[in-house]
Amino acid sequence: MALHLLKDRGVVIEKQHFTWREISPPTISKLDCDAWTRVRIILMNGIESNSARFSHAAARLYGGLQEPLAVIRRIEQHQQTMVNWLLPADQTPLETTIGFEQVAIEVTAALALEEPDEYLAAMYRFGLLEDFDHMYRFGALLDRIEGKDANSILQGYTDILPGRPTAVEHRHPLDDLRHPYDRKATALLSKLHALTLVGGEHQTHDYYMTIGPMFADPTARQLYAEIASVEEQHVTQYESLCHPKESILEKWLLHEACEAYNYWSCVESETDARVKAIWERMLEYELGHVQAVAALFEQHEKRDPAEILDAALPEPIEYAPHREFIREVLRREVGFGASGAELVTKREDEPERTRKYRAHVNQDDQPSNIASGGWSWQPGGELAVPVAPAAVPPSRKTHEHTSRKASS
Amino acid sequence: MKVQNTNSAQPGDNHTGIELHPEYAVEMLNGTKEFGPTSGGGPELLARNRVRVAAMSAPMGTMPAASTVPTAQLPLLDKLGARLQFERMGTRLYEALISKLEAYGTFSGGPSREDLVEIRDEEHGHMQLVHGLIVRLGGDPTVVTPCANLQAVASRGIGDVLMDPRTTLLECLDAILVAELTDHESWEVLAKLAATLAPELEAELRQAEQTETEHLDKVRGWTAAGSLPAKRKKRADGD
Repeated sequence: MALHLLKDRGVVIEKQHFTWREISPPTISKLDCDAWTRVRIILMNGIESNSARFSHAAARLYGGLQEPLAVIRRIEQHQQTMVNWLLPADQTPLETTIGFEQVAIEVTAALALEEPDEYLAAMYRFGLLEDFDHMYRFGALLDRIEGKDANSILQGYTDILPGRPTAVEHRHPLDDLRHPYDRKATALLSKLHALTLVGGEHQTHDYYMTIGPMFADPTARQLYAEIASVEEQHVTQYESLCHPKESILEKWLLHEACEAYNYWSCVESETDARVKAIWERMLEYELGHVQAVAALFEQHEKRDPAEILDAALPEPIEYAPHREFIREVLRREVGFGASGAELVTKREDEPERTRKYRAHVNQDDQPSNIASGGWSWQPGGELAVPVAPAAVPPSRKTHEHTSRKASS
Repeated sequence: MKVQNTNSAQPGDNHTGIELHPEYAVEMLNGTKEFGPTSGGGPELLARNRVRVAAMSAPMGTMPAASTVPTAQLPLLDKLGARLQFERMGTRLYEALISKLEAYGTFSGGPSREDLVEIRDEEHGHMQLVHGLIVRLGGDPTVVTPCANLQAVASRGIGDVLMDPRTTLLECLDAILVAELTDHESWEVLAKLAATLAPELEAELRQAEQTETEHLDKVRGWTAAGSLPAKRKKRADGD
C-alpha cells in the first residue's frame, strides 16, 4: 500500500511521549536476529541523527523557528534513542561496523536501482563501490584482530569482496562536490533518496570518528582514520546533491518526509514483531511531524505543502540482497574516478589536484592495504582454511613424533 | 523469578552460520575467485605495523612522580594498586551475580544467595585490606597504577557478561571463573613480591591468597555442577 505523506496524518505532536523505560527497550539478539533487522536499526539511527543535525543547524540560523524545532527535535531525540538502544552490548564496535557497511551497500544499491534520475543513480553507484570496499577491509580486520567471520553479521546477504580500492578513493575535496538536483523538476522520491544517503553516511562518519580511537591495534586505528576520511567525502558528495536553495522549511519538510518514508519501508519489511511495532509507532509519529511542519510551511511561506510532497510513495525501500547488481557495477565501474562534479571512466583522467592529494596521504602507509593484504573471505575466516602438512613447522612435527613415541 | 535458563544451547533461531543460506555461501566463494585481493602480503603486515608503532610509543602509564615510597618498592605498590582495583571490581561483579541468582534462581550444586554474599563481602574486605596496606607503605590508594589499569582493561568483558540482563547465573559463573583464576594467580605473585620488598605485609597477603583459593574452588565446583546436564535442575524444584 502506497504512503501518502499528507493524507496519512499520524499521531499529533501533543500525544507523542516516551518514558525512560520505553526508550531503553530490551535489545535484539546479535546471534538470532535477521541481518535485515540490524540493518534497519542502524539506518534509522542515521536518519534520526541526520534530522537532529539539520534541526540544530536550522535553529542557529532561523530564530523564529526555534520553538517548533526544539519541540520536534526532543521527540526525535527520544525516537533515535529508542531505535539505537535496540543494538546489544555483545556486538563489538567492529561487528557493528560490519553492520554499518552492510547498510551502506544494500541501501545504496536499493536506491540506485530505483532512482529515476540517471545522474543521481550514477553517483550512488560510485559511492556504493567504495563502501563495498570498506566492507572488505573491515571484514579482513575483524578476521585478523578479533578472529571472527564478518559473515556471522552479514548472514550471506552481502558479498565480502574488494571494490574500488580504498587507497584510490581519496580525492581532492573539489572532486567530491556534485551538481545539485533541480529542486522544481526532480521527483520527491529522488530527494528522499539523497537525504537517506546523507543520513546514512553522516552517521557512519561520526560513528567511525567516535570508535576509531577505542581500538588498541595500530592498523585498526589507522584503518578507521582512513575510512572515516572517505566517509566525510561521501557526506560531501551526497549532501551536495541536495539543492542548496531549498528554503529552510522546504528542507525541514523533506527531512520529516524522509523519516516517514524510511520508517514506512521498515514497517513493510520487518520480520521481528516487537521491532515492527516500534517502526509502526515511529511512522505514526513522523507522519505527525510532517503535518506540523506542513502547517508551518503554509503559515510562513504561503505555499501549498503539496508542491513539495506532491506524490504518493508507491514502493518502500527493498531490504534484499543485491549481489548480482553490485557485481555488474563492480565489473563496469570499478575504475571510475571524479573530476569536479562529473565522473570519469578512467582514474588517469582525474585532475592533478586529486592525484597529488592521493599521493600525499598514501605516501607513508595505506592502512586499508595493511589490514587486508592477501586476504580473501573464507567461511570461518582465513584461519579455517586447512593447513597443508608441509606448512607445519618441523620443530612441531618432531615434538609430536617424540611425544607419541614416549607414550607408546 | 525466571526459570534458570542454563540451556541456551537448545534449538533456536541462530542466524550466524553459513549453512543458513548454503546457496549464498557458494556465490560468495565463487566471488572470491573473480574478485581476488587487491594488495599482497598477509597478517604479517599487521604484525609489522604493531612493531613499528611500538618502537615509537611511550608507556601506557607510570607511577606518580612525587611519592614517599622508596623506588625499590614501587613494583609492589603497582601490584597492590592492581589488587585494590580488581577487588573493588570483584565486589561489583558479585553484586551482579547476586542479581542473576535473584532473576534466574540457582541450580543443583550451584551457589546459594548466602554463598555469593559471603564472597562479595570477602572481596570487599580484601579491597579494604589492600587500601590499608598501600597507606601503610606511604602510597596513595586513589592512584590508578599501570598494573591496575591493565588488569581492568584485560577483564572488562567479565562485567559485560555479568551485567547483561540476558545472561544466566551459570553463564555468569563461567565468566567470573576467569576473574577468580586471574585473581588467585595475582595474589600469589603479590605475596611473593612482598616477601622480598616488604616482608611485614606478607602474612596478611598470604591470608587473603588463601581466601581467594577458596573462592576459586567454590566457583570451579559450581560451574562443574552446572555443566553436567543431569544436574541442571532448579533447586526450587526440590531437586
